Amino acid sequence: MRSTQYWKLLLLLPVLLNMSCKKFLDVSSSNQVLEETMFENGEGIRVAVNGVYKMLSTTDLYGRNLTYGVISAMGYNYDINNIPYDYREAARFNWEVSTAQASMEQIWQSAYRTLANCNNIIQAVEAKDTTFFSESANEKNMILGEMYGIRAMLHFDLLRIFCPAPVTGFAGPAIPYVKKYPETQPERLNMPAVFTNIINDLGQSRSLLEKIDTIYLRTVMRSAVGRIRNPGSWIPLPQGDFFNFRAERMNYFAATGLLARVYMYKGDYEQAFQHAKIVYDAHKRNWFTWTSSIYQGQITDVDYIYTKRPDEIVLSFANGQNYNNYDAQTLSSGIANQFYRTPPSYMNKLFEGDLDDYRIVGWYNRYADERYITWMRPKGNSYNATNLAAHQGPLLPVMRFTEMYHILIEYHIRQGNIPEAVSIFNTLRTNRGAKVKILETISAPDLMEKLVKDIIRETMTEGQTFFLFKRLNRNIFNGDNNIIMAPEDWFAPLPLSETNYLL
Amino acid sequence: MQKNALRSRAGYVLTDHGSGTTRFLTKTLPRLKLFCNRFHGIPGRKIKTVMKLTALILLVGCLHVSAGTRSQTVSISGKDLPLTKVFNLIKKQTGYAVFGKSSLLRQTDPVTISAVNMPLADFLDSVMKGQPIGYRMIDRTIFIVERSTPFRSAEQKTTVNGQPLSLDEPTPRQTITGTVVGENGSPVEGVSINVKGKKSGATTDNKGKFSISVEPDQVLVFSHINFHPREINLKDFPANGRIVLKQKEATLSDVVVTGYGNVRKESFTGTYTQVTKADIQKVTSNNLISALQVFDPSFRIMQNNLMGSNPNVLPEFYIRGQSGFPGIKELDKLESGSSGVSQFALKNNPNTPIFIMDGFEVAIEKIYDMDINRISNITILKDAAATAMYGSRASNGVVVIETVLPKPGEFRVNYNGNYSVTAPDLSSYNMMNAQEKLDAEYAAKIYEPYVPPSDPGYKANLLEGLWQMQQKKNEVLKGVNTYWLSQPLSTMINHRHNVYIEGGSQGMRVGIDLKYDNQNGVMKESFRKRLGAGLTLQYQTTKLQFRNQIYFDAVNSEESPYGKFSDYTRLQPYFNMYDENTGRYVKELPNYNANQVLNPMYESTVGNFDRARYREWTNNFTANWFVTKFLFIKAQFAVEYKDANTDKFTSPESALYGRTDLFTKGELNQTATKNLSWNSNVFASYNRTIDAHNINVSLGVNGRSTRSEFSSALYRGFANRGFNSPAYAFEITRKPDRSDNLARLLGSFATLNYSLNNIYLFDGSFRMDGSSEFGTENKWAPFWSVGTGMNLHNTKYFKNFPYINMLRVTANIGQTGKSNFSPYMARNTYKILLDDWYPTGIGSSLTYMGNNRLTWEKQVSWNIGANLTLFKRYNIEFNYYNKRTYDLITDVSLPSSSGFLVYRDNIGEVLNKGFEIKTSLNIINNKDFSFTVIGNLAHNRNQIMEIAQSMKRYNTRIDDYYGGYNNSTSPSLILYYNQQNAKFAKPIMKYEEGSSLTTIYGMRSLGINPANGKEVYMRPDGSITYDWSPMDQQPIGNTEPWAQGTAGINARYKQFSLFTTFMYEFGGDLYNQTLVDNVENANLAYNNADRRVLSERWQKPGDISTLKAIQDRYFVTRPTSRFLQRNNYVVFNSLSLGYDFDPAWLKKKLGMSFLRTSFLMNDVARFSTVKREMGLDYPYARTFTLTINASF
Repeated sequence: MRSTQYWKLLLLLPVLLNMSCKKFLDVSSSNQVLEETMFENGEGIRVAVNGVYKMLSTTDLYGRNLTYGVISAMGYNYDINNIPYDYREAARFNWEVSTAQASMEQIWQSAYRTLANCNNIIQAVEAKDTTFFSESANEKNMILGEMYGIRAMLHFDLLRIFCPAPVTGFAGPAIPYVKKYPETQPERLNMPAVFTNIINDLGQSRSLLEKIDTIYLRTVMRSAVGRIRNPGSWIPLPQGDFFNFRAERMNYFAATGLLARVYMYKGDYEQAFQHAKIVYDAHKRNWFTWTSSIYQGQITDVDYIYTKRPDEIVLSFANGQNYNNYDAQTLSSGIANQFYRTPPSYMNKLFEGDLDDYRIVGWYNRYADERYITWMRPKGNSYNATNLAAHQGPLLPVMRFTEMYHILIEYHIRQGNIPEAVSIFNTLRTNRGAKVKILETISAPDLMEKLVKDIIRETMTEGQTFFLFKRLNRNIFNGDNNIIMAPEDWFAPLPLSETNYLL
Repeated sequence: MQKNALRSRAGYVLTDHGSGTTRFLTKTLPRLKLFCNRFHGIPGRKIKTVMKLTALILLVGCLHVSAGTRSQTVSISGKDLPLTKVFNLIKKQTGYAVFGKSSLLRQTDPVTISAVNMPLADFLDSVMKGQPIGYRMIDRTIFIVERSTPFRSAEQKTTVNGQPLSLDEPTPRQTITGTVVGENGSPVEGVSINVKGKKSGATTDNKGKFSISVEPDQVLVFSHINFHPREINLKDFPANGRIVLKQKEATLSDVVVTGYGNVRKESFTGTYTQVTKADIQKVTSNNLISALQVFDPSFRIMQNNLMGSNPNVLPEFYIRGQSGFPGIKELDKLESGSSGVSQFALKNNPNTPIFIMDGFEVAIEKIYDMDINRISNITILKDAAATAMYGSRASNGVVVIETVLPKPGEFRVNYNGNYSVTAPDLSSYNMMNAQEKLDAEYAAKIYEPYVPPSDPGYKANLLEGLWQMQQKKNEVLKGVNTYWLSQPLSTMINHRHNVYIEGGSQGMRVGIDLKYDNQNGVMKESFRKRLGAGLTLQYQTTKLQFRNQIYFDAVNSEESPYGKFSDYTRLQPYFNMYDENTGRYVKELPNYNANQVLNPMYESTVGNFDRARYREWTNNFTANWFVTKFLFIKAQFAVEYKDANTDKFTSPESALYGRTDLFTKGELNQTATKNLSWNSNVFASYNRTIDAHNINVSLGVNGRSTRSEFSSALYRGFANRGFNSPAYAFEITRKPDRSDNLARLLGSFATLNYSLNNIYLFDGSFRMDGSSEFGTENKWAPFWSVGTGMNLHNTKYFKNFPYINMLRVTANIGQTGKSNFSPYMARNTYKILLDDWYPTGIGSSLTYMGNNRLTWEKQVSWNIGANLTLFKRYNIEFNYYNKRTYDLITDVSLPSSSGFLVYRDNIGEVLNKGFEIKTSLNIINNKDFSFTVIGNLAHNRNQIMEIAQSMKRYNTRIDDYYGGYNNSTSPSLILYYNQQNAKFAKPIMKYEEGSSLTTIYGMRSLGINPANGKEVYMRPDGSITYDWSPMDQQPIGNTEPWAQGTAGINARYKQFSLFTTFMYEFGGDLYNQTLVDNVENANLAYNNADRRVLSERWQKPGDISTLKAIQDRYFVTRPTSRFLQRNNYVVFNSLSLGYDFDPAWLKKKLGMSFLRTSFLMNDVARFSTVKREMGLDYPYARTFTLTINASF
């Protein structure tokens, strides 16, 4: 080779000169994906949306704290001496103790982390044209509707935990309502403003999701098998599984039901009634159906109990590690195996006069351990037990249609329409196995008392009890002497991770 | 054997002595010779064959040795000798290679000659007289060429030799030749010879020869940058053609190696320290990084008292002070429970300089495992002017390493062997023996119950305590006195071998490098084994040079199965490690305090291991194109692949698993890391001297990409120690985890170095860097430096002082950067949530809140320096610097409603300023004896100028941490609390504006109250208290010394040489943690302690003591200035004594060309004002090494 030809070799080396520098420096790794890469196509956005639900389902939020965890402890669904130490202090409302703060920190931080993700998706999706999505406008609307709904729901739950109840007339600075990402110094809004935002977001969610869940994905939404993932049977959906299992995602009925819940909490009973009625009517048209009595405790075989009553679920999240998480706290040695027990005295008082109610017969003390079986791994190894574990185990129920009954009943009581209230109430009770019918002659306060008990029965260990007392500003029922609540007990102070940086 | 090989190489004695190798050689060598002779002008394929054969021969028994003497004279006599034979003899006697078409030699006539010690050139001239061939000598190669004009003229010269050139020659033009030499007689290359007033000219070759066509009566001008110019009229042209040029003072023909081309030392304004292989070999036999400390006072290794001399722990170091906040802060480390120095921590060390090896950035581990024999030279670049061309990576300094390149000539075998003895150094330990310990326990009354005498249980408890003391006493009386310290240790013998084979023609060179290195640590069975092989090929023509280096390295290392040294130091001397009946190790040591103590000696036998290994392939290709005499283009491309694994196994037989379930016994943790990186540099350099101007301009681009993959898995449940592969595991405890990372860097740079008259100097450089790690809004960063200086010694005024050989002043300023943040920190990134799927698919979540504006950390630094050389023997260099590092990347706290707790931003500023002095005084220098004293000193002051809010929050977290101290004095739990509180005895650094990155915080102490043995503290407001409070902590000292440095002597007497170095440090403070832990807070009930417990602690009222009451077991002493000690020390760092064998004798007796043996001792002695235990988890060691360097 002649030496003069060698210089051509040199040309091979500075190839990088010709490379586009920008592209060269834009790199990414397999499990650390740059935002630009993530939102490059519709698939990536779907992954980010699933991520939001994953985050909602962690133990910090609905995977424990906001269901069977600290919030149920604060509602006295358990003997508070038999719950994890952190929860005990929270249930005693010793907010100045750091252990009581710990769970509240978890809730606060994870909720806002999830909100940051929501907002980032909303911003990305709003900037995209409908042609970007493989299911065009339907997909875009669905994702936006879901994200607005979740944004409202999380803020609402934070408001319920960290601020005094609206019934006290509190109007001071409440919580920050975060609507964009990144937002480095979110501002605290006062309570009415927070409510306005929540209601706006839920309204927007409803209008975006209405056609999706009542027309576009009607087949999925109408049957329990479509709404909740059941490994044994399913509805094949041409659009793919991202559009399936609507009750495990924010959906039209969930948004509507949540709006009813928000109005109830706010004290706007008329609006609450209007929205609850929509879900109630859907139930009446058999979109949501009662769990058959044999799955509720009519039979003695515990393997048959539908621990999560999936047919009734309007909104639920899912965490495949549910049983493991629960077991981790209850099966460890020492004092921990006493955790999450509810004393018989409490149950007997709660179900006074209705000891044939499935909610005590079917669910309570089935393994002779004074626990409520909602969250427990089925102990049998029958086909039913295994199937149940796979199907219902991961579910984290947030709302059932029965809540609409409660809203309707309370609305009618407040309207003085006792017979209507009793009629609806009796339908509910019959389907829960209570043999004694309530008479129309009952006084309003007595009926209200029965309603409160029924709400507790219905939401045992699912995280709504505490909010019930808070909404009504009543002392907390604990099966013994009620817990007398001081005004400052009702709400957890903002966590240190927030207040340290408030200006 | 050797002789045979020699003779067969010479090619005319082909005796077969029955050795297969010899037979092989005799068969192949003539062929090989033929190839060589034909080499000139034959295609590359045959060269390859030659190469293969050569390599083969070299590897077969390494017999390819030559008695080449490298002398330039020959002694050949004979009648009618064919020229082929003559050249063979020349080759043999001089070691020169001969290349040329063999057909040429066939045309020659035999010669009759008688030469004794005749200079080679003269000899060649005479044998070629009248022959149709000529020759050209380049370096150590004689090229035989057809006779052509220039060579004919050389012929002519010899014919006119002896008589002055006649002016009345018929042809007015003639060619004259000659040699230019320096005052010392050595030829000078690159002298330009011009005819005065004309443009025509010539340049000398590397033998100093030139030929130029001239007309009579012209004047020749000889000029060279390092020599005074000389004009010679042709009338006065010397008969022998020998022109002597007078050297300019203080010749510095050397260059500064910057990694991107070389810059003339004389005109460079940056600050650097240059070290050669020979220098390093005098200081260390294998620890390159620690050796660099000796040569540069600003290069400092942070002492790792925990890991001592563990061969598997990489050192942490910095240049010119620390300028960044650590990636993982002390408290976070404590709270996460991770150990002191891991690879991860090192990666996050914000002060580590970068290492550039042959133009390619390499990891510290590679340098740590590198064989020092591969090094040609090392340059530590320190200030902005020296480092700015490294842009965003430059702020911590740059260490440039050049490796050796094969030299042409006959194949030579260089062998380097190290044989060393490493012995543990326990001199800093002063533990009690069994009897003393028992006495101390009596003195401390540890048998006494914690309950007051009024308590009903008092008596029973007292009896119980006395009973236990009696049991211990019985053990002592039985003769149990275990010296635990020596149990896991042993003195090790290590050896290391390196063979380097080099040679080839000027055009084609080969280097083969083989290494074996086994370093056993002093903890039994801990080692680091390194193996390596490399091949360098270089092909060169006059304009082009291609070089390819390929290296393979394998390192296997293992930690000692004996565990941590600290597991032994605290054990009670009255514990018997053997079972009295069986003589085997007991699993658990006697239990006197309801406190389970495992026997670490038993643990060492169960089969635990902790292994790491890596394999690394490196290929480095370089092409140099000498476009013109002034323009040079270089292209480099390097690829590196590294595959590293670690396996950590806890045997199921370990006593740790005493009571656990069978299926969970035994654990195996495996990690694997793969790195693939490439680096490419292309640059052009233009270097020219025009009259008084010297210009050196470089322009280039540099691209780099590193991809790493990491995976780990944890397995649990093993049947026994032998079945330790993952296949035998009962379960995978954790889903195997995998992550990867890709980082890219692209930069372009320009540098200019200009000098006028060699007096006025100017340096400038500029670099633009783009990094994939920067935020989207700041992808590109500019860096720059300018420097100026003056060579005062070249000015007219200083010519009056001939003893001033050099006096130079320089000043420079520049901005560089560093980007030590984790990848993707600047960007919004999503993490895929792999643990479980949501029913509607896989999910992802935001990892951090990205900061689009995040940029590299910046540093503006300036340096002024002066360099003076007197009498050519005394050299002193002084530099003052100021480095302001700002835009430090720190966590900025956010209210959690933002979704995140922190994001990264550029806040924070640190200032380092200081000076350095380096001296070298060559006091005696004559033929037999030379004596040089070297010394250097560096002073640095570090100050935090600005910190982020999050750092202040970190400080309050430290206070909270100390708040965790349990003050409870509940008698039954006192020992438990004592153990729980032990961790609070260590001071933790805070970050405060105005103090430094090395400040120690604690309570100010007024000493021990002689009345009650309690410590009295002074609060910052001046009030006095007995109570320790985290809020009252204040800066009590600074670990940074006022100055540090090295001193040493370098002496030579005849063939003996002696080199010693002492490292010193003074003016810094040290928190004597071992005095706290092992004397003051010593828990005598559980642990053995230092003898000072008995002698120095307060015992009774009236005792004046610096240590609290011996009876006090209730309180753990938290950070207090009482334990702050002035840390002044001198370490006798190295002592080496070498002997160089006489080359003439060697050649005659051993047939070797070079042999040197040396004895080296490291860490000979240590004199310190602080008395503390050294090497806590792994002891320190002293090393004695015998080194042999030989060349055949």
